[in-house]
Amino acid sequence: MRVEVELAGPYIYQYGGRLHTVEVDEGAKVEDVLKKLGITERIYIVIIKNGKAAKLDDPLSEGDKLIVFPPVGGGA
Amino acid sequence: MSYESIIVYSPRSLAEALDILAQRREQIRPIAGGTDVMVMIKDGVLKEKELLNLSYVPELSYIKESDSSILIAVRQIGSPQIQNLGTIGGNLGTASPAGDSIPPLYVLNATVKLQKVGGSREVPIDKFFLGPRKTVREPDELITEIKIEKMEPGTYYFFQKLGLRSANAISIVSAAGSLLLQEGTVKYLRLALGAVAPTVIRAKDAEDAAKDQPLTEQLIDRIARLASEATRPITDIRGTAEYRRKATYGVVYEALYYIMKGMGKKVEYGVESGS
Amino acid sequence: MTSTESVVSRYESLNRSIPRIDSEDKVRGTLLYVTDIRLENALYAFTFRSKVAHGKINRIETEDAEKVNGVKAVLTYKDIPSLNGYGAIVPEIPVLAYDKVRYYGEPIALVAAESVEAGLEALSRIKVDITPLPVIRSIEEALDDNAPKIHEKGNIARHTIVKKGNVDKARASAYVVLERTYETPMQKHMYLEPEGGVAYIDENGTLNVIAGGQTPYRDKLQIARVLGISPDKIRVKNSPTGGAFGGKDDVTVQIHLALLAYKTKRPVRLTWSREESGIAGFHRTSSKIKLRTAAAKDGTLLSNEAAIYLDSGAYQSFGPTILDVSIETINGPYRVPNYYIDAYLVYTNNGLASAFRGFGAPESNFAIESMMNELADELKMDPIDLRLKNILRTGETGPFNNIIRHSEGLEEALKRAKEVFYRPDPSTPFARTGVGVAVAIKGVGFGTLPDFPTAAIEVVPEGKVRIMFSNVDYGQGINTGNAQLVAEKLQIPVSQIEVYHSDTKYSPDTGGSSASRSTFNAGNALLAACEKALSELRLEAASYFMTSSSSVTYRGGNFYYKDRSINIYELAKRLRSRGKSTFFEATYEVPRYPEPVEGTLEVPHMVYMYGVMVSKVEIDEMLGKIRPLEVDFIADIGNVINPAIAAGQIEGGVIQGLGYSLTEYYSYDKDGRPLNINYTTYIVPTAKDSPMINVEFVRTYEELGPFGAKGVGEIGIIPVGASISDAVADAIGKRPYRLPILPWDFI
Repeated sequence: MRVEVELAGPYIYQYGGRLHTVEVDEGAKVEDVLKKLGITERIYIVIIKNGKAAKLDDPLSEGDKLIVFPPVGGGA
Repeated sequence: MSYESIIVYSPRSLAEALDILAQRREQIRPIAGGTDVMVMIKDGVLKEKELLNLSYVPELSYIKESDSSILIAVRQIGSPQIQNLGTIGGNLGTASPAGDSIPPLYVLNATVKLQKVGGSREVPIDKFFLGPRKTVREPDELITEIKIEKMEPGTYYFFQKLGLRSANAISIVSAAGSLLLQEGTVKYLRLALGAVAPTVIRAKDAEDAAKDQPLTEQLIDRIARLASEATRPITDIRGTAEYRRKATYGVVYEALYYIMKGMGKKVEYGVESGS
Repeated sequence: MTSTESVVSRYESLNRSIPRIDSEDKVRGTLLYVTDIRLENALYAFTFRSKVAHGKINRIETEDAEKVNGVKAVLTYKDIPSLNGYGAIVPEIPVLAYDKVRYYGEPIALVAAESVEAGLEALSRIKVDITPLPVIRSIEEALDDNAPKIHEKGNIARHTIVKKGNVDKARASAYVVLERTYETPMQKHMYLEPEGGVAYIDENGTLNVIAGGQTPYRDKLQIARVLGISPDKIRVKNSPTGGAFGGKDDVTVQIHLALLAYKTKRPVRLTWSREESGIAGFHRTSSKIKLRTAAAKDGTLLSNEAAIYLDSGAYQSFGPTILDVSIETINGPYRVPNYYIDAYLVYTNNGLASAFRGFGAPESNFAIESMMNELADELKMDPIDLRLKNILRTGETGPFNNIIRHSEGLEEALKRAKEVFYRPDPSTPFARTGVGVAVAIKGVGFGTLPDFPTAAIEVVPEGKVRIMFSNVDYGQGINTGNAQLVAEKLQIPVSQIEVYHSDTKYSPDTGGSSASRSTFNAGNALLAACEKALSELRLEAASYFMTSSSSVTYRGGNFYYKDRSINIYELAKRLRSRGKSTFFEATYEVPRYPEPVEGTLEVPHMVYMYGVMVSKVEIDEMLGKIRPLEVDFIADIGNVINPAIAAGQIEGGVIQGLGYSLTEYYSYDKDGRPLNINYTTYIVPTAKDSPMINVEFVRTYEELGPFGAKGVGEIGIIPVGASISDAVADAIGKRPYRLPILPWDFI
């Protein structure tokens, strides 16, 4: 199945553009999409699925829309 | 923060002001500079819903006998902005124990004239205050005049306040005094303390102890100790009770020490003297 | 290197105190700050806040409030489309509280209404049922075994240990070992402009949020996560902001504004009152730091053991990285061969702690520099000599396996400090005077965290160069400084430069104004954009002259070939006429160590600023009065772009530090209610309290920086606490271990 993924902030540059269509197996979870895109961050990442906050192990369906936010971070 | 509507009366004469006051009584709050009342409105703690604006009452704006010593004291109040708006009547009416114009008025044996439709009375300053934010003023009375004694030429005077910063600070301790010396002997001392009791107080024991005594370091220590003992301070966000007591000693001691050393400010009509 | 030639401007833009480019509007009062903006047809927004500092929410009733005439929205956590959380590091701060409240003033509901009156009426009709829980008011209470848990995971937000060598062995061989505990207070930023702004949806469907802030692109992401929409549909503009000091680095009103505009489809205006800012705005972490430090007889430092506790308040915000800076600065700029740092970030019910100028460094600095001064006493050494003996020299390996790029500026500053280090005469018979010293170190930027600032310039044929970056000028003068850098690079007058900043619509993502990074990061990115522009324009010039680009020379805004010349604006016109862009964007990779020190997120930094502060005070012990008489501040900030603005940053930092040292202490009552929430009770110093402040810059040049510059924003505040308390100790013979030093603490 295919899901639409939008990357936000610096991820756009780090992972090759803003919009991606990702092909995953039936029964795939949110985390599988991150793996496909090569995104390694797991702790400070925020993922929105169809307009709602999602967890890494949330299941996916055909046509789901994800927005993947990098850690917003900041230090001094 | 409160945006409830407030009715403001702006009388153009004293008679008109007293009339309004007689009618509205508890419902109305007299306001002059508004440096306190406006803050109360903003914080939503002013109980009256009407204001009597005294800014345009010509009879309330005069100085018949100016006294330079008072003006010196007023300079330490708040900041130039506060000084430009604030009034002595307002400082009396709002009755904060930390009001900075009040200790000097105690030292000058001031009397407060309260006027209403068809009558007036004069109240000595030390009978005017009942407690924090409480005075003897009846709801239909207005503070219309403050009379102060003229100090004898040669009288030393002082006003000192302690706050956590140099401007716009509410006093933690303040003290005002006047003292007449004759050949090194105290003829009289008047000493008033602010922010260390529910109202400004006169340190009567200290004053009595000074009378007819030679002004020495021993006497100054005794006066300062008695002044400190006269306080009934509280601990609040601005300072501890213990600190207020100790600092009262310090303020009084230092002021009298400078006078003993001939470095105090002295009344000389027409000119200011001293360092 | 300490160079004299390279620091001199070649084109009269650098090292000059030109007036700020925005000063005329500010002086005339025509500049509209974000909270001055009035939008037509805008709703007034208000925040319903918890009156309980710690409790379980049973019920929130908004029906009555919704019925008020003119009320357009009453929102609770149920109305949040996506993630109910924000926070610069971990998104754990609820946008609107749902299961618990963890501090007094925590937002529970939002109201938007046609009028102020209707909005306030609605606020008064919201009912909440909260079961109070015990309130945790201090680090000690939070760490108590029986303490109620503020968060499910407990009251420790972060715990880390960073160590090197063998402290036990080092201590055993020491001549002197001192063990002391230091405490610093919560500090409020007290910006003149409280948190606020406006939001509206424009004709293209873009959600515009114009609010006081420091980091527009991060705000944009944080808003998008909460609304569950693409960040592309959001614009954030932060300018001009009336003061921030770190307190607007994380989100304040932005998400609330966005949520209300998104839900009501109407323009919305939300500005916190001064008291609301006092209750619900951010503040500096309070700290408790235990130090055990050992030195040899000659003053050589042998070991440093630190237990650092920072009070993060109810949530983390920047807490984790603030803790890192505390860890990094607890060894000062010194050669410490053995250390053991045990650091805790602790939850309490004390509001929200977050970034504040210095970011963990003032807290640690008070501890280590007070310790250095006391060690000097014990060793009967001059305190400046003790520092000179221990500072890391250029090229040495620092405590976190970092190579010290430059410290000759610090050495020179210390030597200069010796000349002004003397005790002045008292001015009254009751006064005693004292002199004190402290040294500050602070990294520029985000340490080992990746940072890729992007900036752009556009050469406009009409004779202007637009420069674009997202850092916010909230009063520190970055617009002017960056304009000077570009003017120098392009060899044109500053008057030809127009600045577009802190607006995600126009400015590329340069990051925000924080960590003393704006000159270094935006400056370097802008210079890279200038390089691109010059290279493209040179090709165009070569084509115009019909020669090779290597035969073309550039000087003062013009390209030359033989006796002919053409200026950059003519060239821009030629490019535009062929449909080519004259907009040049570049990304700068901030140099960093590849990995953080184990246990940290961002330690160490590569570039450090330094400062040495000598203070002279007069104390009347009878009155409990401490009067700072004079401050000498000698700083190494690299090449100084604009000396007046840089000195102003240090003077401002020093005065803010004097407040931190002598009068400011944000505090809570036993029920967790903040006590001093406005200027009447929270005592910031005024101009009348300011001593004479002499700022000097040692001449240094940091090769990584734009034209040799490092950064300046934070260095001024860092050493103030330790320097002033050292002067107090010198005057009264009793060393303060807690800030602020209040009258009742020593009389």
